[in-house]
Amino acid sequence: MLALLPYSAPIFGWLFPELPRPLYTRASFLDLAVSHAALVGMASLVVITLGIGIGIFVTRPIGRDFAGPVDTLAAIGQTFPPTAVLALAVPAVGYGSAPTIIALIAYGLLPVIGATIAGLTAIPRAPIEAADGIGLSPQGRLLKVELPLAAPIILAGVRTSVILNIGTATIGSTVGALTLGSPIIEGLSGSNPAYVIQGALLVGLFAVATDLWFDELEQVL
Amino acid sequence: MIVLDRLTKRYGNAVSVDQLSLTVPTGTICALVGASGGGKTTTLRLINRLIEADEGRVLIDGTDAASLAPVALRRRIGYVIQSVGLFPHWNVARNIATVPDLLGWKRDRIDRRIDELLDLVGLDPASYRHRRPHELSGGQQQRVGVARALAADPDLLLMDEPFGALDPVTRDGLQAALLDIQARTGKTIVIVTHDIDEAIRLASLVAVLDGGKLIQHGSPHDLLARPANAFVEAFVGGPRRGLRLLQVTRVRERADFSEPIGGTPIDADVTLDIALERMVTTGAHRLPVYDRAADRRGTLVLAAIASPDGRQT
Repeated sequence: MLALLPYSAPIFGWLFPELPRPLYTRASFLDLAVSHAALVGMASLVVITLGIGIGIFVTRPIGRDFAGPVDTLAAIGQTFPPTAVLALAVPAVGYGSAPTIIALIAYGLLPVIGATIAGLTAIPRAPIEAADGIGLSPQGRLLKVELPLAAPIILAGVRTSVILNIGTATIGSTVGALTLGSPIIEGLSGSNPAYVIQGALLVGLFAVATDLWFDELEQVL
Repeated sequence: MIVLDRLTKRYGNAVSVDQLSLTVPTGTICALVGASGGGKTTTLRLINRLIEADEGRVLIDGTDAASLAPVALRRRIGYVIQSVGLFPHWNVARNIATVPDLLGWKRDRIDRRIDELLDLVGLDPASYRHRRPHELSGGQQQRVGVARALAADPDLLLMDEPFGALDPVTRDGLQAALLDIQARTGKTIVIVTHDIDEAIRLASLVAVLDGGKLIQHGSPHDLLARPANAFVEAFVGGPRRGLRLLQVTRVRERADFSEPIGGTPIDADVTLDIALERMVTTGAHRLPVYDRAADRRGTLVLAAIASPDGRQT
């Protein structure tokens, strides 16, 4: 699709005959897609590390007291509109990729934290009790027993978060980040529905492809 | 030898284990019995420090358990629980290898050990090594649980109602397997059970706990013949106590070796319940007895089964 779209000008010209420039050309679709993927990738890396880390922390004896506040905070992160995060982040870190990544992190953290906590607390008592009883250290128990058993649920959370952020990343274009949202934003402001369709099509395909890839990953696990 | 020395554990105002002192000689099976909430499981967990005692000490072969790191201590003590707790994402072999792995054993030594243990617990290594826990029956899972507990060859095995969740036939098989394993390995075993018949069958030392206190301890025969109080008497069987006493008394103790009689003899080492059963089914009042160890013959009469030793005073 990425390869074919640049040659699709006649189709969009036929669909929208009133538009003088039916195909988005300000940046190549490949550049947009690569930049979009990089933004989501970077944000997801932070989200996964931080989310799983926090999830582990609040299910340990030392972190148990923080479980409530962390839950609330993560929920706020997700209910807070990403556009508002962008607006707040721009004065602090300027235009471009940085505020977009911050918004994506805030938005994507909740599913990962939630899934990690759910996964770790859903493990049956018996293996945990046995692990303690036969002499696994707390770290050994976490790495060898708890995380492998919680992995499917954690992965589901990561999947939700990444897919969510593939869509959310489009709004980064409002603050100057190069994403597949750029044609959408420009199409909206310039009354060019062809641009919107082109951007939305690619974002949608990107999300579906990623989702399918997670399917494969779950099969492997 | 395991020495529990005035062990005490409190939860708030409640005393779960109260000044409990008990000595378990090396190579014996000791059963901790009593009603739920009597402190049996807490006592067991105080031994491998899954729970830390408020007062008192646990000495394992003279070493204070508190002087070792808890994790190191537990790797030296086998631990079996009712819910088994095999790791569901690992196969049987890897489950058994858990502690040897942690102790850094060489691969081929671990592999040999896995086969040895599967043989010991009565599972064919070739067909069970690579199975996952969910492919095993409850009884087979617990056999693997016992193998895992014995993997690093601990001198002491702690078992918390290990056969409580199994059906009677499976439980019977595992009890027999445990007796066999104990006879072959000479392990010291402390087993928690609420089943007095299990305690009588397995243990040479039975400790009755109530309210966190040790009420009475001794051989099954001692407890059945001379229960220290009403609680012990009720626990060891109430109306069935006399019948259970037959299960722990050998023919040798009641036979008269001065006047042998003819016929197919009964072994002097079998218990009185078996002799009585034979009398009832054959309608005989007396049975010929053969004592293999002393190579002598004698007679067991019906009246001797109810002799003074077995009577309440």
